[in-house]
Amino acid sequence: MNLDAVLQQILSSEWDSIGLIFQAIFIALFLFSIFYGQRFQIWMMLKNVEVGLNKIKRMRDNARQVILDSLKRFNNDPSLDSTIDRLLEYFWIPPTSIDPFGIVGKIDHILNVRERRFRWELKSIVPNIDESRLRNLENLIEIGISLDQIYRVMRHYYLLGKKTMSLFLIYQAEALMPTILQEAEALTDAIKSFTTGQPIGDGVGSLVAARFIYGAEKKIVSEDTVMAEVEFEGRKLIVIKALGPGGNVGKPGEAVEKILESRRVDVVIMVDAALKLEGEEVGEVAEGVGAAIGGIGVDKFKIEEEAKKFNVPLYAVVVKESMSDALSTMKWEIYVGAEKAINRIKRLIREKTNVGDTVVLVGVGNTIGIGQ
Amino acid sequence: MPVKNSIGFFIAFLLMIALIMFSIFFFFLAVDAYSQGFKGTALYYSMAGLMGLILSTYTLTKMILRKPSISTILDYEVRTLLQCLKCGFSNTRSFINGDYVLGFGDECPRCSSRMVILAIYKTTSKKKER
Repeated sequence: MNLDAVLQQILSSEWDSIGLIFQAIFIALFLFSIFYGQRFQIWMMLKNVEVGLNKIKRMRDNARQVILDSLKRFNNDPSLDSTIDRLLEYFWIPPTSIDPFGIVGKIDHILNVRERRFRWELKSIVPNIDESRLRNLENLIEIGISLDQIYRVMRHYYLLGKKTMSLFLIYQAEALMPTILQEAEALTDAIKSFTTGQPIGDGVGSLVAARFIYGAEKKIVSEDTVMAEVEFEGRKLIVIKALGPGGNVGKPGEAVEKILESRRVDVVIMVDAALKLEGEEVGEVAEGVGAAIGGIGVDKFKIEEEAKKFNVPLYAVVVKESMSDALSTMKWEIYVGAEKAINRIKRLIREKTNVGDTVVLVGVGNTIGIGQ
Repeated sequence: MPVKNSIGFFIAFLLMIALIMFSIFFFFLAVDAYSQGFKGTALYYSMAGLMGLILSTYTLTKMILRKPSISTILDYEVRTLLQCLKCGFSNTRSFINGDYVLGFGDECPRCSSRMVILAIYKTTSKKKER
């Protein structure tokens, strides 16, 4: 039968019969949307979550492989695979907040125990490694742990949603997926930087501090944290930063505590990277007051407590960047931002202090790839 | 464990291709019906063809865009900026493992003193899908 004949046959049918067919189709679609609409919507959302989950899984597996390859350069033990899996599942339990009094001290203690234990574990795997590389490996494993956690939590909600077919559960997982994917991608970006020891955007605070103390004599003020005293236009400038060039954030809270307890300080200036809002430019510099430091809040608490105790004003200078910029190799715009931050700090010192005053400058952030 | 989209994806893909062909066939019918004076029928056929085409292309686009890509591989170059603090000579080169900001770099070609690394930065951040 040729095409003309088919067309002829179809076109010869009555107007009403075609209309009837279309009406039947529309009624069928209407009934389908009433009875199966929600199921279809759930199925579509589950598919979206599944695609995101697959992406996260690939990122986690990639991170695990990079960690494994990095450790294998120092130790070729066949049981390394299981050791890494054990390390990736490492967790810490935050203290109870039923009675919040003294909770910061408890968090600090638990985190210190975790850090020491983790470092000991890592040193037992790679005993002959230098401190700088050890810190980088630590950071790399932290990234692996974060990606593993993200994957496990999202998989939990995906499977729970699939099991219960709960629209709201799946809806939440789907709504959160884009931001979680962004976070996972930022962590994936960080892998290359931590493997090769390149400076990351988060280190801009450390970079600014390092620029003030280049060539000066440094000493360890607290664990993984250095300080140096320099003079700036007649003022004494005490600069604190994490010990580089390994991946460290140091303990700036403890360092500020020690300095403020031991001598008279007129001003504390903190410089850090800050997450930019959409629409803001990378490397934009802003200034304000308060403790410019992220993390769980232990260091922030210590600095605020000491500043209040000694009535020392806290000034903050931040360089804006996205989460991806903060975790991946530093962009040129951030160096430009660091230059601007240095000028702002100099202006701030001139405006807010007098000749002979003592200023504490804290460069906050991971100092990977940045010396002093 | 999440499912791999292999057979399901291809069945849906083939169905959408079939729907596109069917929609095109409806357009032919519409043209033919119009040329023979059946304006109402032509309108119905063109509506059906248009709906089919919109639905199939939309679904296909969504399917292709949603198809998971293998994890993002960073494809950017990392440069090291060095400067001689003695004579001011500056130079950039590719990053070498062991470089760090404010660390010592290569020898200055002008005055032979060690240059200082002032910056290590990425030039592009193009993400390549594998």
